[in-house]
Amino acid sequence: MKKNLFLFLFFFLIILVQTSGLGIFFPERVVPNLVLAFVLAGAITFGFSETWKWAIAAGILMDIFTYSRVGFYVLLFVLSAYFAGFLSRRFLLESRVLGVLAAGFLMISSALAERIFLFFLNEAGNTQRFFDFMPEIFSDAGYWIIFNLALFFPSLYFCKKIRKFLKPSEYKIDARVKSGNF
Amino acid sequence: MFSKKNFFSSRLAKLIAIMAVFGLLIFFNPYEFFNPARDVVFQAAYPFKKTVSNVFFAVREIGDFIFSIGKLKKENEKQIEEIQSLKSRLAAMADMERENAFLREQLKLLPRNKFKLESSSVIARDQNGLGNWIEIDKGERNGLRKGMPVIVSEGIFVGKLGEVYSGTAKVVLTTNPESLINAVDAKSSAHGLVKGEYGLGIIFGMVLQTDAISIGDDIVTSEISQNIPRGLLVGKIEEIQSSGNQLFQQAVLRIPFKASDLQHVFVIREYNK
Repeated sequence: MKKNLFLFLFFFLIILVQTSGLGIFFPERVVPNLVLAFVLAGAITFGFSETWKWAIAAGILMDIFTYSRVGFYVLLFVLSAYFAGFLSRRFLLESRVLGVLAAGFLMISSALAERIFLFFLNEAGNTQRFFDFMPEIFSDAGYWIIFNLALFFPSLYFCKKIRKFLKPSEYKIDARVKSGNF
Repeated sequence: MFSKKNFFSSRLAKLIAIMAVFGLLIFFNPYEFFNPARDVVFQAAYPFKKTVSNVFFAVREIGDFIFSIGKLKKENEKQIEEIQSLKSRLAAMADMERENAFLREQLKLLPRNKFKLESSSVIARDQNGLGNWIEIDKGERNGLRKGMPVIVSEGIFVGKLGEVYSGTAKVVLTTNPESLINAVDAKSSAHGLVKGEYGLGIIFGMVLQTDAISIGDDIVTSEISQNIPRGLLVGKIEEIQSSGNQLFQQAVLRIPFKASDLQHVFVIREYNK
């Protein structure tokens, strides 16, 4: 109960910062997605089976706060969390460098998927309009990718801290497994 | 392979179920069905949104101030010189005021004090640049209705009210692809339609080839626009796209505002036609 309340308030705060705060700091069209960064970081840290409920809750809140069709951010977050969970099992435990690269790649592809799907939803699937606008829509993609990655890695670190706070016993076991002292 | 029991409790099954439910929701889009829920969430989130917005603006201002300290000394000296120059220009102001009144009369522009304005603060904004909206802290209970025009202090047209909730409202900016406004070239009186292009600019289109438009012309709202007073600045012509074999010509406009800088806007509740 306490954990659920904590996580709900945490996601609520993140969504508020995303919709009311980040747009003030970052130029238009290069605002990174902090909520997506935390959903991915959460899925990598806690696994998909523990994150999917939070991905749905965060998605519904995000859909409401951004005046989007309800379901859009839910699908984006749940799908991203699924692949993040999958990747974390495959790569993160095997090689740290490979894991970090894979996680970064996932963050970039999820953010790109958000932009592309949102455009198609706005244009009711008009592919011609998409190809007309594509060069301009992605003209700032370089900065945007850097900003997204710059938010993602601290989010990953922060999620690990949350895990330590919420599940100290599991964290200790995990740390012992990694160090080979288990 | 999956056994039946394993499959239904697997991650993949959860994913497929979620995708099916929310995919259908996106497809059928019962947008208004969620409006009561939106209203409740917006009311609950309103004080937090306002606080977060104010805090981030304050932090940005502090940041801007710190980065500008080096420039301040030079600017101070420059401003002392400017004060001298302004003193002399002040004398000419009375004459300019008379000229301004004459020009407004010629262009049939509305004096600004004829608007009944509702001042409001921006508490949220589109975060990916494709929606092109802002959210303001006033709504139905302040007398706001869908379609009301929104301006910034200098009579610059920002957009129209979209969805209006009890305490908040969404402003659809001119850069939004859903935004379509009747506009006129203030210099040549050429009529056309202004349409948003995903925050990439705005297009002044459907202008007859026979009408004269030139780079630098101001484009203002026309009297044909429903609920929008004439003479509000929409943009300045930056580039003209015209070819002989087309019926219409169009121009790319420079937007006179930056969505990320909007902190306070005014909704025109009433105006004298």
